[in-house]
Order: sequence, then C-alpha cells, then structure tokens
Amino acid sequence: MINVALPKGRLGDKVYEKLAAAGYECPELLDKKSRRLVFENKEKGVRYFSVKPTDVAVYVERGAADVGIAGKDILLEYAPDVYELLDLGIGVCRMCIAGYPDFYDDTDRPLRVATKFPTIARAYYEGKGRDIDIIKLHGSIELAPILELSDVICDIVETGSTLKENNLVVLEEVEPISARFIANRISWQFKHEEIMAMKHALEAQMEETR
Amino acid sequence: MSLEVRLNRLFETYGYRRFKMSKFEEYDLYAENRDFLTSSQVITFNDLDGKLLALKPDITLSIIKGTAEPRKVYYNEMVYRVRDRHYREIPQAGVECIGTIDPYLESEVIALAAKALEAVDEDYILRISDIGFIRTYLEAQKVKETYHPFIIDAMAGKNADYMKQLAAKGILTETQKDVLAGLVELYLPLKKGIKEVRRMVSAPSCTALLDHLDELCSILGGFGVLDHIYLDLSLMNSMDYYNGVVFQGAVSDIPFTVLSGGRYDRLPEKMGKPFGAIGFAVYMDVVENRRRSSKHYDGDILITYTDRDRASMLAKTVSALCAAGYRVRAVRAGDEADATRWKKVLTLKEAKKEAGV
Repeated sequence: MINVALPKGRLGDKVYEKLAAAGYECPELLDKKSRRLVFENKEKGVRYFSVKPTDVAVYVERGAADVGIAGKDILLEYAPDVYELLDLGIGVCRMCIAGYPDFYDDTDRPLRVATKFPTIARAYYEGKGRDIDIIKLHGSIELAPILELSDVICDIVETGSTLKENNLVVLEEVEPISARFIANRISWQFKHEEIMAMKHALEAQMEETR
Repeated sequence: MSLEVRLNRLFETYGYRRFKMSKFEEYDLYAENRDFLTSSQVITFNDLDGKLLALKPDITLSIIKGTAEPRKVYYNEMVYRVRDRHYREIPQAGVECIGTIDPYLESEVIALAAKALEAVDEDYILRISDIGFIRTYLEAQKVKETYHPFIIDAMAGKNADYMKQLAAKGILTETQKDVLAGLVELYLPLKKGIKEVRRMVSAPSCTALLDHLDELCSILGGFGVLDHIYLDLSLMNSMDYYNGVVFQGAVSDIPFTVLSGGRYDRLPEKMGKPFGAIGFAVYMDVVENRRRSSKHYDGDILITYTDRDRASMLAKTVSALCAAGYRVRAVRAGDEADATRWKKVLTLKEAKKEAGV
C-alpha cells in the first residue's frame, strides 16, 4: 500500500487526474460532498489523503505519507528532508520580488520585505549581500507596500493580475516554481518499486499531455 | 534485552572496547573544529577556575582528541544538541575504528553497522556510497566547477530534473545528463549496482573508486551481510566531515535514518594524528521514540488487601507468586488506581488460590 498526500485544491485535483489516468484511480475521491479525509483503493494498492498544501511536506517527511505533491515554494521555504523525484510541470508560477513601478532601493537602510516565505526571501537577499528586515505575513501580502508596511514583497506570482489591480509590478524574479513529486527517504528504500512505478507513470502522463 | 545492551554486546563481540567519558568537554575543542560539528550551538558554562566548558554535542571529536594510537572503541552516551529550536539530551551509540584503515577494517565497520541495524529490526537496509564519486565524475568530465555544489545537492535530493535543466542550458552534455540522471535513480544491491555503474561511467579515476567498492563488496560477503546492502551514489552525508566510503541505515518501521557513518580521515589529520578513521552512530532517540510499545501491562497480578487480611499470609502469597515468575504488586484496597495496567486484579483470597498457598 502506498500512501499519497495530495494538496487540497486545484493542484491536488489536477495531479489526481493524472494519477487516475495512470491506473491509480480511487473514484470516491471525486465526490466533492464527501467529508472523508482518507480514500483507499485496495485493489490498486493506493491510499490518498487531502491535506493543506503547506502540510504535504510534513506528512511525507515524517513518513505518514510515502509520497506527496508539493510546490517548489514549500520545498524551498521549509527544506523538508525528502527526495524531490519529479518536476510535474504543473502549478507553474514564479517567486518574485514585487513593488511599485517607481521603487527606489535606498541601500542606506535595510530593505523591508513582507512575505509568507521568510527563508526564501532571506536566502535571496543574502546572496545579493543586501541587509533586509523581514515582515512575516500570512496572507494579502500585496497590502503591505500599499500601507507602507514594507518596501517590497516576496511572493508567488501566477498571472500577475493581483499585482496589477494593486498597481504593483514584478521587480525581480527569484525562482521559477512548479509542483514536485516528493518521497519520504525511507519509504523510497522500502517501497522502492511502488514509488518508482508511480513516478514513471506520472512521467508517462506528462509526456502524453505534452 | 534492551537495544542498548544488545548493541554493547555486539560491539564487544567484535573486540571493540567501551569508551566511557565525562559529559563535559573543553569548549576550545569545538571552537577549533567547527567544520566537524553539525551545529555551532553548544551549551557552555564556566568551571570554577574560569575555564570554558561545554556539554558534549559530539562524541567522535572527544574520542579522536584522546587517542594516541590505533584503537577500536564503542560508546553509548548522551550528546547535547539543538532540536526544534531547543537544546535536547540525545542518546547516541556508535563505533570508531582508528588506525591505518584498510579494506578489511572498512568492511568490518560497515558489517557492524549492518548487524547493529539488524538488532533494531530485521527488515533493514544499509545504503553505501563513496562520497567523492560524483565530484570525481564531474572533474573527469570537466563540468564547470561552479555548478558542482548544485549538482551534488540535486543528487542528494534525487532531483533528476535539475540535470535536465542544466543540459537545456548547455552546462551538461546530453550524455552527462543521462549518466547523472541514471545515477540519481540507481538503487541496487551493492554488487549489481557497481556493475551497473561501470557500464555508465568509464573514467579511470571513477573506475578506481568502483574497484575499491568491489573489494569491500567481496569482504562484506564474508561477513554475510551483503543481502541488505545497497549502492546509492546519491548519499551525501556531511561533505565536510567524511571522505571516501559513507553509509546510512534505515529500518522499515521508522521513517527516519537511524544510523549514519563513514570514513573520516580529515578530523584526525586536522588534530595532527597520524592515522585514519571510520565509524558510525546509531540515533538511539529516533529508534526509541518511534518504536511502538509492545507493552500493555505494568505487570501480571495486582493483589488488593485490607486490614482484615493477615500481613504474613500476604507476604507468603506475594513471595510464592514472585517465585513462580509473576510480576506482582500488593496495594491496599482502594489504592488500586491504575488497576487497568495489570493483567489480573485479585483479592488476597483469590491470590492465595492462584499461588496455591
């Protein structure tokens, strides 16, 4: 039996479709009215559970799930001790620094950066040798420069429409982001064949959509 | 028998001597050898003469420091490290083999690691690698040096897509990409694995490393542990600490690495000692924390008695039951709060019958 942690939401649905097409179906999972958390298909040897996207890596790292689907942003931010087996090429977006179009970086003082991703922001600016003051927020990051809480934000940009509506622009790109197929390091050894079969099935599905 | 006792016995069987030590160490040792510590955070305090002391965050450093001649030792001690942003006392067991390290000694330590894992759980896997292999390959292939750390990181994370990205950028050739991506996925029993890598990589500097692994492979066969040993060249224990052969152990019931070790000649070299070293540590905390308790009861029989019972009769009954091999507790009636933790709860009268007194 292989335990799969899926992120709740659109990305999880998309990945499930691919897994189902690859032979790992579990039809009960599509019943949106269901309040169940665990879905199992004994015949196919697979058990799914939907968890908050930021929690997927926790489930996989601690072995509650053998494999999971997590965004590269989560992997960079929390650096879970897992294997990153496959870039699924979906959920594609960019980690960016954004601010007002006329932003001027006053290097005489630390740059104030509002973000949900303090580790990524810190690593990025450390690489540039820029001293920063991190303001950790949990949502509505775009509000920070508007209210002058911060100079810039470090956040995920998908289409850019939220930025646009708030008169902000991308100033720098930090890192391209996409969904990754991850595995627990120990499961990778003891359930090696099952995990690699799933990986190759996902790869084949990606080839097909291409 | 507890795991600790079984490990101690195993190490002693192979002629390793227990190394007992104080929990304190001079702080200077850690300040001078920061490269060899996983974290620079150490609990420090002053001795009465003003000397700065530390609670040991590491055992190996102290062993090497106190070693003047070749020796085989094992330990079962506490280390003090940061976990989840707090200091913790962590039990650790391990083995160090110090001296002129030849293939036999290397294999012996690896075999001991395998047997230590077996003591934890019969369903175990020990992965081994040569930590210099990937770098040697990259050097032989003249891959731009600035990319080496990134490629090594991607190897450690089993991230084959990164190799594809580098190939798309023209940093790696198609063949190099295929070899590296192949090595990322390679996970085979040692003997088969070496054979497979030989098919993929032909540079003489790489072949030399494979020859060495081959030699270890045949010696490990002699120890009878080969069935559980896999080759995985993506293993990258700490690159600052180890050189040469490294290994990591896991058991199927515990989702974390429980054992790790390898060849570490740099530490004795830095301390000016004329020998090499190889060893490993077993993370006893990981094993103990994750182990499902098979215990359901504190003991077998809980006897309740009152003032009306004769104390001498109670003593006789308790003694008879203990002698029969039961674990027995006698409590005053009304004090049996945790009665559910005992297999049987009996009055003295019932217990007398059970004991045949």
